[in-house]
Amino acid sequence: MEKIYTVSEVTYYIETIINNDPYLTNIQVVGEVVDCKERNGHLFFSLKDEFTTIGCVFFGGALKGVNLVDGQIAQVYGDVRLYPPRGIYRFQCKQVKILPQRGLLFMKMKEVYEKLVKEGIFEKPKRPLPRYPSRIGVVTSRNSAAYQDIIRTITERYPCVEIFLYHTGVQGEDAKSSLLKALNDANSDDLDVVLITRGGGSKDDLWVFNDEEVVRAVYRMRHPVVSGIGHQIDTVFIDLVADYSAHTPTAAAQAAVPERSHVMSYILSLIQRANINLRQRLKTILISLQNMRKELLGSVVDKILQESDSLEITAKRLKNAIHRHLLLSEKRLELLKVRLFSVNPINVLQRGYAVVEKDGRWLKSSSCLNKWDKLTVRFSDGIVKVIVDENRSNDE
Amino acid sequence: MKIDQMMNELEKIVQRLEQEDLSFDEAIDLYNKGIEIYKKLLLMLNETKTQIQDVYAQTQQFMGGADIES
Repeated sequence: MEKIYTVSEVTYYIETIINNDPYLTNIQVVGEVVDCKERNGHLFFSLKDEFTTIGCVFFGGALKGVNLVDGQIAQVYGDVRLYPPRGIYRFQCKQVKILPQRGLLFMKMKEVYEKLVKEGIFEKPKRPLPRYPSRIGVVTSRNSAAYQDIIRTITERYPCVEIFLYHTGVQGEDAKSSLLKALNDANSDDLDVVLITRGGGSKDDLWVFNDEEVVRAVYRMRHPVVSGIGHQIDTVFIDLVADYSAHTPTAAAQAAVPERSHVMSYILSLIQRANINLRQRLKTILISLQNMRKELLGSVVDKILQESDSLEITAKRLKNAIHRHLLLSEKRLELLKVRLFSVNPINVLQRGYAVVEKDGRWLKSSSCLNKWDKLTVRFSDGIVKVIVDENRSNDE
Repeated sequence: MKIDQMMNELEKIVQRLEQEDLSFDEAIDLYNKGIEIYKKLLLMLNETKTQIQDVYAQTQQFMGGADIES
């Protein structure tokens, strides 16, 4: 469970923060006096400018002879402090200076402001800053602490950028022309983002950033613009046309470049996402491949089985056919064997018969024999020569 | 020589032995030649038989044993 605070705890905590902030102690503020009242010698009034109002109190102010009138331009010195009973902050004046000559400048500034508002210049849509810039233009003074702050901040956060300085003298008579030239130069170069910065100074020093021409020049910038003029409490017109308005040069630099570690972790997360994505895709592809393979194999196997069935039948037929031939050949050979064995001449002799030959021919008949013919008689164990004495075959 | 040719050759030999007037020596020679061819033929027929059986057995084995992954 979160802790529950009392009103006082919150209020006193805010008071501590305000009291400890050096930008709120011993500062000088200029503005138009409004709602001025005196009570018990104390002066209560508000200081306002074009945009905001701050309540002021000058304890014992009336007794010190200060006579404030609404509409006057006053420069007050003191601290911003909290008034706990009412939970409001207000400026506690230690000194008050009435600046009659300042009124003219304010009048002029007001006039410029109203003119620009009418033209809709401040309505210009804010352009997004590049996430990963590589060329950064800086419009500032070469020797300023602001420039050093920017270089340091960018180098620490995101060293992989080129920084181009457009030097401008921000103080003195030629501040305006010098600033206009710097803006113009930056606008004609190829940049990703332009920082316009100036360290804290008196309101006089920052005046040029309220100049109509300067505001218009910033308005015309091709590149996204980050302004970082003065310190926490300064606001100038170019802040209103800049695409991003930072309170300080350092904050402007922070806005212009990403933090290296964030970039790294972003890249890592991208890689991780890509990895997961890739894995999923691979998985899907693999599954569909497997399915395809199954289908393919299934149809192929079916076909092969069919083919192999008919092949088997053919093989059987082939075997039977050749077998038939073989059997025929065997039968024929068997017959030939029987016939061959039956005419084996040796068999004849071994069975006790004799072979009779005449003039080298085997006699199968006695009809062609005459008396005195010479014959050879072959027995199984030898040969005898004989002469025909009588042929009786003719007698029968 | 092919089986059929040899078979015809043997047939001729047997016919000659059965029909022709030959001298005994010629008959013996022819007979021996016939026996020789007969033996060869017997051997060849047996070999052929074995071969046919082998081939068929192999075919059966191939078809029956082919393990196709499904």
